[in-house]
Amino acid sequence: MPTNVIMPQMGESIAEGTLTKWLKKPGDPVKRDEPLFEISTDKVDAEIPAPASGTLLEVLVPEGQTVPINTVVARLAEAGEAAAPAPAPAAPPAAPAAEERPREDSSKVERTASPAAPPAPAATPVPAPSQKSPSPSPSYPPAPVTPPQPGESREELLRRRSSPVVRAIAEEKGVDISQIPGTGISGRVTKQDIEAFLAGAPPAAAPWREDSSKGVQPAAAAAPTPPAATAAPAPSQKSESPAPSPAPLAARPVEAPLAARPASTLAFPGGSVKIEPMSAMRKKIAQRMVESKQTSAHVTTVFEVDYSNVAKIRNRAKARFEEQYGTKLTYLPFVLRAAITALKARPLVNASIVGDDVVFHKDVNLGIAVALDWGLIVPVIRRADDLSLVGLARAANDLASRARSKKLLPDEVAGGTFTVTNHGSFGSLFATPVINQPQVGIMGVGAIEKRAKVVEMPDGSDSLAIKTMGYVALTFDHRLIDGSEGDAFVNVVKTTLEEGTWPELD
Amino acid sequence: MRRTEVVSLLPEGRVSWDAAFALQKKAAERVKAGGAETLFLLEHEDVITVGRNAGLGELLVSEDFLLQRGVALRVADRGGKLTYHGPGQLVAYPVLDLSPDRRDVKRYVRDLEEVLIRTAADFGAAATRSSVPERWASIWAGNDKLAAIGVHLSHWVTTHGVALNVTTDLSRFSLIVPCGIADGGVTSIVRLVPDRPAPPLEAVAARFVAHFADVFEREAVPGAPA
Repeated sequence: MPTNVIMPQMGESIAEGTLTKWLKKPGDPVKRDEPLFEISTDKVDAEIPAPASGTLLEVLVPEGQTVPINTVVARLAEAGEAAAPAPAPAAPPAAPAAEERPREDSSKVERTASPAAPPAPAATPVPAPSQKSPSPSPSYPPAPVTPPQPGESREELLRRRSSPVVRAIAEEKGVDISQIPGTGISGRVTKQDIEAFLAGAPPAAAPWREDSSKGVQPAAAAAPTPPAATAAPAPSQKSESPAPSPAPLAARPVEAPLAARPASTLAFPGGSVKIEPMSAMRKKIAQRMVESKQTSAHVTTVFEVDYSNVAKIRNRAKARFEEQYGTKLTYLPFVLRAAITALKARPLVNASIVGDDVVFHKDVNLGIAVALDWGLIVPVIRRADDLSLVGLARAANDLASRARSKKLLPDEVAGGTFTVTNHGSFGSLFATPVINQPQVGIMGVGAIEKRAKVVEMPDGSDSLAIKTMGYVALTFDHRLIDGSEGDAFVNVVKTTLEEGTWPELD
Repeated sequence: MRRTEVVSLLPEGRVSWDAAFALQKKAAERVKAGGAETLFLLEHEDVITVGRNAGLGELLVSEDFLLQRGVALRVADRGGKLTYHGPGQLVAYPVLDLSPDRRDVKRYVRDLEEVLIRTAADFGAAATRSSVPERWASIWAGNDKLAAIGVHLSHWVTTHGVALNVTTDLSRFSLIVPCGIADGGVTSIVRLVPDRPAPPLEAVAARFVAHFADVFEREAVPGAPA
C-alpha cells in the first residue's frame, strides 16, 4: 500500500506551507528520513524527510504551490512494492481539489480566488497518511457498535472489528476480515476467530476473556513462554494447536475456545470438562493476585473525566504526530502524563510499603499492564517523569510491542512504583484493579466515549452537550492511603486531563 | 536543562560566509547525530546573501560592482530574501534541535526576535516586532530594521540565524532592498543610541548569549569550534 506524504505542520498557527523544491523525481528510490522536498514559510526554509523508504510514485503538488497542512503532496511505494500506479487511496489527494475548487465555484463569476486565501476547507483535513502499520499500542478501541455506521468506510469498519494482530494475519494470509464472523467484543474478529477461519473451523463461541485490569507483575513473565510447537504430553505443557502458523503469532492462547480446538488433541472425559495444567505464567499471576488481595486493603475510587479537551488536541495533532514521530498518538500518553503529574503532586501514591516502613520513590517508574494472548505482563517505563509526551508514547508503544513479541528484558518488568491499566481498550467502563505489590496504587482507565452531559451555560441555564468522557479508577492501599488522599490524587489526574495544556503538541 | 555550546569566533576576526557555513553544516550533522548544540557568534566579511527562494531582483547593483567593492554574493539555503552582513554586525547562528518541545517555526522565529529585542534593550536601543505581516520576523525601531532573521531547518535542526546591526556601515544596505522591503530603512544600535559609546561586539554577544539561554531554556557552556 503506498504511503501518503503530507505537508507537515510547522507550528501551531501555521496552516499552510509552500512547496519550494522537490529533491526527488517520480521513480527515484528514497530512504526513510532522507530529505524529500523543501518547504518555505516566511523566513524559514525546511527540508522535509521521507516518512518511509521506497520509491517516489507520484508528485501531487508542483513546486511553488502553497497548500494547506496535511495535504497529500506525494505518494511513496514501499520498498518491495511494485512502483506501479497505486490503487485509489482511501484519502483522495487534497491538493488538486484545493486548486480546482475555487475555479469551479466561481466559473460563472470572475475568478476571485486570491492565491493567498486559504483553500476551501473541504480540501484540508486529510487523515493520517499511513494505514499500513498496525500499531501495537494499547490504544483505546473505537465506539463499541457493531453495525456499520452511515458513511463509515470499509477500512474503519475493519479497524473497529479487529485488532492489529488480526489485521496483520489477515494481510499476510490475504483474508478479508469482513467475511469472518467475529466473536469478540461488539462482534470484533479476534485472533482465535481468524485462526479458526484459516484452519477451516467453524467460528467459536464467544470466548472467556481474561480480566486485563489485574495489574500483576509476574516475575517469571519475562522468560519466554514455551514455543507453540511442543506437542509432548509432559504435564507442564500447554495444549497446542497442531496447525502451523508463523511465530510469534503461533502461540495458541491458553484460553482459546474449546470449539476451536481440534478434538483429537485433548481428552474430554464425558464430553463435559477438560483438564489442563496452568501455564507457569498463569500460576504466577494467580499467586500474585491472591497475595496482593491478602496484603493490601483494597479500596477503589472512580472519577468521571471529561476528555473533550484532550480529544480536540489529539485530533488536531495525531496525523502530524505520527508523521513526525513514527508512532501513533493515542489517549494513553495523555493519561500517563496526567498520572505522573498526580504522582508528583501526591508522592504517597508513588510510595511502597516495606515491612512497617513507607518507602518514597524519587522517580516515577510507571508500570503499564499489557494484555497478552497468553497472560498479562507489566513492563515499566523507568523515570517516566523525565519523559515528554512523545517519549511516553514511544516508550509505551515500544514496551507493549516487545511484550507481545516476548522481547522484554527482565529488568524491564521490575521496579515499578505505580501501575496504569488500560482496561478501557476492551470496552470496560470502569474496573477495580488489583494492586501490584509492593506498590500502593493502580489506576484503571475506562473506555473513552461520547456522552450527553448537562452543562451550565454562562447565563445559569442548563443545556445538554456532547462530551468525550471516560471513567478513571484508582485502587489504593488503605493501609497507607486514606480516601481523601486517593481522591486528591485522582482529582489531579482529572484536572490535568480536563484543563492541562500540551505545548509539546503545538 | 539542555546544553548549548557557545562558540564565539569574534576573537578570530572577521569570518567569511563560506567558512561559517561549513562550520554550521558540521555542527548540524553533530546535532542530528545526537551531539551537542552550538551557538556561533561572529562578525562576517562583507557579503550579501540571497535566500534560496528569492530572486536577485532586489539586488540594486551588478554582481561585478559588488566584486569590485569586495562584497561577496552568496545564495543561502535559508528563508527570507536578500540581506547584508559585514563589519560591526553581530551574527548569531544557533544550531539547535527544536525537537521535541519546540517544533514550531513561528515560535522559533518569535524566540529569536525576543532574544534580539532584549539584547538591544540592554544597550539602550528600543526595538519591537512589527504588526505588519510583510515585516514579520525581524525587529524594528520605528520604520527602520535593526536586525535580520533567516533560518533553515532540516529534521528540526536549525542553521543560519540572526544578524544584529551594532555599528554596521548602513550605507552597505543601499546595495540591496533588504528583505524585499522597499519602504523601510535599516538602523543600528549606535544610530539609535548616539549619546553612548559604541558597544564592542563582544559585549553585545555576551548579552545575546545570556538572553538566548533564558529564552531557549538552554545552559550555555563554552565550546570550541569542531
